[in-house]
Amino acid sequence: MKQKWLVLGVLALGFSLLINISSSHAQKSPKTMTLLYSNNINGEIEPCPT
Amino acid sequence: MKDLRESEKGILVLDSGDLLFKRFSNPTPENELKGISEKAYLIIESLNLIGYDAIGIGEDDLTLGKDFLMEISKKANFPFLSSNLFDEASGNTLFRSSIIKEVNGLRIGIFSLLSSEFFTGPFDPRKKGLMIRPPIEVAQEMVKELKPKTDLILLLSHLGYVKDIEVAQTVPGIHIIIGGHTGINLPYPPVIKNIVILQTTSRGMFIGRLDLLFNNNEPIFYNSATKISLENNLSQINQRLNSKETPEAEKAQWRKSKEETERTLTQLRGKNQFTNHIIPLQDQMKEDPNIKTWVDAYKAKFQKTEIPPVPK
Repeated sequence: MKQKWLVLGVLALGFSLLINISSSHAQKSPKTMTLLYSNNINGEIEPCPT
Repeated sequence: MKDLRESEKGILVLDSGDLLFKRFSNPTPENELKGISEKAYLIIESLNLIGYDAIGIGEDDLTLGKDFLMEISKKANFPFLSSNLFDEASGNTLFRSSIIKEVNGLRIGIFSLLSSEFFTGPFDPRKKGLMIRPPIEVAQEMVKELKPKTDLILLLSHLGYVKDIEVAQTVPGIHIIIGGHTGINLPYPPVIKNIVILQTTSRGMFIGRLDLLFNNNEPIFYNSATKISLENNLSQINQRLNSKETPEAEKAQWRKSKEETERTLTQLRGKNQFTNHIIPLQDQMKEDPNIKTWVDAYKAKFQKTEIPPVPK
């Protein structure tokens, strides 16, 4: 019985360590986002010379 | 755009209005009605294919009236947005007043405003059956509604550049304004009260790309070009300081400049930043085969009846 609890305890500790490592890793990489935007296309369907 | 949409995560594709029709001429010539109507459908189909996330409404999008616009919106895979455009009879907003999109774990609130000043008067046919509420008042309401639910608030504005500045000065809580109507390229976007104002020129000559980098949760951004400029300055200052030709008295001045530049660079460390690019959509750009087929078919059917558009 004692052995079973010990194994469970080790597993729980390992699992929580894994979560901590992965979340701290995620915090390190900053979030990014890209906006592509258009306005006043005015019904143009062909490339307009710039 | 389609390629980028497919290759990268965390992208929003948006338009701030005056999308479907060329500049309004009253009345629209009878022989153009069928052609411009079909072209509007072609544009919506193309935007579906590109993967637009939302569009705002411009006054010229109402060229064929509110019923046409409501009908065509049903063909879009993305929402038409307008927060201050109301159906006069029912008192309801014509389209959804806002949406919240989740991008890379960020909740982005998007709403849209149209100016009543761009209509030619109370009898402008585009305005028939519509009521337009004051944009600043509505912007304040939208921010109040979206703020608790979002990380970033974005306005698709069809108010014109001058009004965009007024909104930035008077409505705190918005973070990015994608402007329209004026049709000016803003390669170095103004940041007013921490609100980034964007816009490109008209007739689809350019598309804008804004990349945001979040180093913290505070939605305040500085232009990455500022940092590059400061770093270049610092390198030039160091050259002067290391040069034997620079007199000692002058070096003292350069040392002060160096301290100041380094201080500013330290202040920018850890802050959120943006990079903006205005990309020309030239002939050389790869065309989508589906869209090309649709455009060619349209041209074969209608182009002879069209009058060249009047530059804005």
